[in-house]
Amino acid sequence: MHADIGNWFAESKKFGCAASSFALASKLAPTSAAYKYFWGLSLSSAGRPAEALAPLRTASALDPSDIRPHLTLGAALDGLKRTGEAEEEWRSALAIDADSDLALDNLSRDLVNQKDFRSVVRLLDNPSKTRQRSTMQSLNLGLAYAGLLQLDDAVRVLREGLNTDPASLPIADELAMILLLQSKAEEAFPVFELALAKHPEDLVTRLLYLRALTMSHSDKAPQLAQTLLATYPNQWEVLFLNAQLASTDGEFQKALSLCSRSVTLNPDNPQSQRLLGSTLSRFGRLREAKEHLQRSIALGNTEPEVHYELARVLLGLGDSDPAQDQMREFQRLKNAQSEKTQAAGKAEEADQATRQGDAQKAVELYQDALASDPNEPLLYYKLAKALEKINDVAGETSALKRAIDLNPELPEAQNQLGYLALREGNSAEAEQHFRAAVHASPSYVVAWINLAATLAAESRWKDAEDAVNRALEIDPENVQARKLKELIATASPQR
Amino acid sequence: MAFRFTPFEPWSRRRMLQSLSGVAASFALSSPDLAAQSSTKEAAPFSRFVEVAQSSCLTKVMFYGEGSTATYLTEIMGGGCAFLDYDNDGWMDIFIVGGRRLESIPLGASNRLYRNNRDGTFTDVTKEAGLLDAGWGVGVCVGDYNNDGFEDLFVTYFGQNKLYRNNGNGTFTEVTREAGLLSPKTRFGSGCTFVDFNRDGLLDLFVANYADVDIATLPKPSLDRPNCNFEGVPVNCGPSGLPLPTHALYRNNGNGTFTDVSKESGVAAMRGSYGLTACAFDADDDGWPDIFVACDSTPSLLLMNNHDGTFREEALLRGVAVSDNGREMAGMGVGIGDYDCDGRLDIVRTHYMNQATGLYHNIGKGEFEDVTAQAGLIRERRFVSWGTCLLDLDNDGFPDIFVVTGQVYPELEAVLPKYPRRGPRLLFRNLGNGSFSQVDDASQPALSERHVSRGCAFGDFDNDGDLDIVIMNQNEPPSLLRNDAPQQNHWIKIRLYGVKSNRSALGSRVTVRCGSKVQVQELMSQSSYVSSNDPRLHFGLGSAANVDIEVRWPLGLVENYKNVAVNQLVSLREGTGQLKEESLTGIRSVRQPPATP
Repeated sequence: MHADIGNWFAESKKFGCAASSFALASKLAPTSAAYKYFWGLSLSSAGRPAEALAPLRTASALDPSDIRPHLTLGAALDGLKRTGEAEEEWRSALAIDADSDLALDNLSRDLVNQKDFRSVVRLLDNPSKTRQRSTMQSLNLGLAYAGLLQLDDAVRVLREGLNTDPASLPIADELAMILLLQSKAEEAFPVFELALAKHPEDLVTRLLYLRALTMSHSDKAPQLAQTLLATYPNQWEVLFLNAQLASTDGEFQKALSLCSRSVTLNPDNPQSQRLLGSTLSRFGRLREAKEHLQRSIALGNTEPEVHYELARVLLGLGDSDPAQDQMREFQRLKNAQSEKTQAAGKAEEADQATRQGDAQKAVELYQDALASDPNEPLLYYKLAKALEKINDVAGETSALKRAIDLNPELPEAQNQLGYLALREGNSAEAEQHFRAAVHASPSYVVAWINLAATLAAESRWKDAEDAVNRALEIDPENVQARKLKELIATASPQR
Repeated sequence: MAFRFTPFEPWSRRRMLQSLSGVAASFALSSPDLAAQSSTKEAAPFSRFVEVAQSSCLTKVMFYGEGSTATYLTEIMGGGCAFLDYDNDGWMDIFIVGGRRLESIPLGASNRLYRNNRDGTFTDVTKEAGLLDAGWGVGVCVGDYNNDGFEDLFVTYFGQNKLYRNNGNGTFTEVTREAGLLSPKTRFGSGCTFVDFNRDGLLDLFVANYADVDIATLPKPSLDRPNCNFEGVPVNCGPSGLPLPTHALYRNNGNGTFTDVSKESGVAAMRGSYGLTACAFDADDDGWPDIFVACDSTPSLLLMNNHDGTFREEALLRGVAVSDNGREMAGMGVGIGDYDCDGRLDIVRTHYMNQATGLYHNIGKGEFEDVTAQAGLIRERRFVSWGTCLLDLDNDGFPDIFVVTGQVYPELEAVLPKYPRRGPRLLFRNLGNGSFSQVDDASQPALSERHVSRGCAFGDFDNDGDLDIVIMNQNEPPSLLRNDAPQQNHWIKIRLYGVKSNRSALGSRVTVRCGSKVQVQELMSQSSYVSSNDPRLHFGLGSAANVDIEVRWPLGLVENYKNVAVNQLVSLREGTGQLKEESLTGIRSVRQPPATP
């Protein structure tokens, strides 16, 4: 009776009332997983996710084969920003149905948000599975590959996603942006154009397209800019981009007018503030220019050039000491950029040497790269890998330690340090590193297995079992994890 | 579920978009009266250029890389060229720097010396002169380093730079080793300039280097490396990310040898730039030569002379290191001249495509302002630009800008036709009001013809009173553009002979006045793109009938010559106060009427 009323309320979208009815139904039938689930679902739908957790968890315990409580719990926990717990629910759902789109969509999104890109790849790019990815999964997988700097893979996945869902603007936008990052503007433009053919009024995509055209110095940019300006005469970004184009062509009066309007509409954009300051300086309006350039910096403009422009304005105003300060800052930032570029060049050579199997040469080149860019943790990690190949354990350890000093969230470095510690018989330190690795990358199967092995070696069977179970949750087919689980089961005295 | 989220910072749309903005260059508005003056100028006849390389027998192909592909950037950077009078006969000869193929040296590959036959033709005398050499030649600078009265050559290479001493008998001897200029390791020499930096009367030598690379370790075109592809097409890598070089300064010991003083002069410490064309001139009017180096993708350098054998680098402070909005430019070629006739030397610098050729106005004491937009140069950004000048081509009294172009990524054209391998010649006519108008090349095939050009040099090969142009084209014979300047415009050429100063008189500053108008030039060993111009300073004078000339010699002596007649060559010898006048008859050639706009 109460359940029927609950259903009626739910269908009428009166979820609060539905929740009350299902609560009563549950009280009368405390072992009914369904009533508990509908109670939790109603609470969640009523915008009361925190209250929904208990009935949903009970529902799940009452019927472990039902995927629905896990899915609703996952959503509720995500809504409460309890992402770690949500992830467990998504994984539990996937243990019931490995192809659940809802679980895969949400879990991959959570992992992308945590920058755990490898886990996303592991989750979604499984060659043994031929199922079609949802739009969200394609997007998340593309973003994960981009985050791993595997841009070709990102493009492949996003193109597949776009073929499946040609109307998806997010995929089109991200695909186009990654193509631009690959300096493939000529391939990016048709992606924008196809997307806009389906969504001609979408301002975000039109603005992205205009940005891309402007960046690529395309002849098409002025026309699109004018069209957008006619349609959106009071949209700050449209005004800004038009101002930028006018400035590029030396039409500074026009640029000034457009940029002033843009800044009036949105005073918080550092780039339009900079352009306005820069343009004002051309008209000798140095005091105003100074204000806008300073505002741009205060708003977080990190471009070195803004300091150069400010220095020139300050010099024009006769403020030579502050001008010198700005010029020094410009040079400092430029030098830092230059050092990074030099380091990247050396690192590329080192990668090449690594691929060619010349580890000694790679070590030298990574060290050169680090001389230019001594605070790049990934370079230390790569150096460590090269040192490992020439059996320089002390050097490898030192490089790994430096890597994690700079970025404790570098899971591979933590894992490798754990491995080295374990090899030295230092289980406590090993455990610490493996835990840091799985904390940084919760789906890092190898680190979970290593952690389990370390714990098992210390006869901490329950913890070891938990760890290996976690590895198998992520990768149920993992042979090493299965073997380890068997070993633990055999060795554990309780069993 | 929100699809359009910004998933993570490094790839977030907003963050990326922040990096996309490109703000343009400088500004100014022309006042109505100046605009009127410009329209008058545009209506006046202008020079007509005629390609005469073939009829002049400049026919040898200048091999440089493969042409249709380039694996390494060493295959794309050369070469320069020079007008010089190596045999002192009063007629400009031509030297062209060439290269080779990556895997082989084709038959006929060499630098080339062409002797002027004084009849509009040239003879290839490379072999007789002892200048046959095929390597990765890049640039050339000219100067009489041993003060024997004959111009010597210094040629930069990816490899070992070479000094060729002019023996005075039509031949040269390579004296790199004897002169102490051998480098212990492979260097990528690019710009060079003879310059008497310590004012001891001997020409010293500054050499810019492009990058510290070795073909053995240079990466190849690749889609996996950001600096090895362009818009999805694998291309030769760099320069970004390649090791930055140091530049070199060699002091002339006065006995035919040089001493490397890069460290003690401070030059070796000026790292951080991929150096190309080097121009020595007195930027701050203090009487001592400074050195400007156009640098690719990095801040250009302005080495200010401290008068004590050392230099300080001040390009950034003085406004010529980067664009006016702080962006690093791909500086290739340099022209030095006084475009607005204010008596101060300005700088024009050519750049990569999508970057307008930059004009830097000297506002006094060696301070410069970027006036690219004000001058009307900002809209032409289509081509990779190389050799250039700030010289008066139509003799109207206002220096013009000429630019040669050519792609650095030969593979692009097949995939992306909007990036053609060959480019045209660009000509910007000085309107006399601080701005320039681009000359329509439609009626001038010599300008619209497309080539993969690099260096060009300006000189009067036919001695007819205007500046002709020789152009190094990769994998083709050079171009020789005969200038048929409007006959009604007057001119004067000034040849300087140093006595106490270096014999070439490099570093001399000549000021020409007629009425209230003033023009200034300085004699340089290198400009354009790693090239060297006719050492006779050429001034267009419009309708002026006579001029006053002031010469400030390299060692500081100032001499004045009043009421000098126009349309002639005058030769001045330092310290004599005497002037030798010589009318140039030119050669008989069929001349076209001047082009009308």
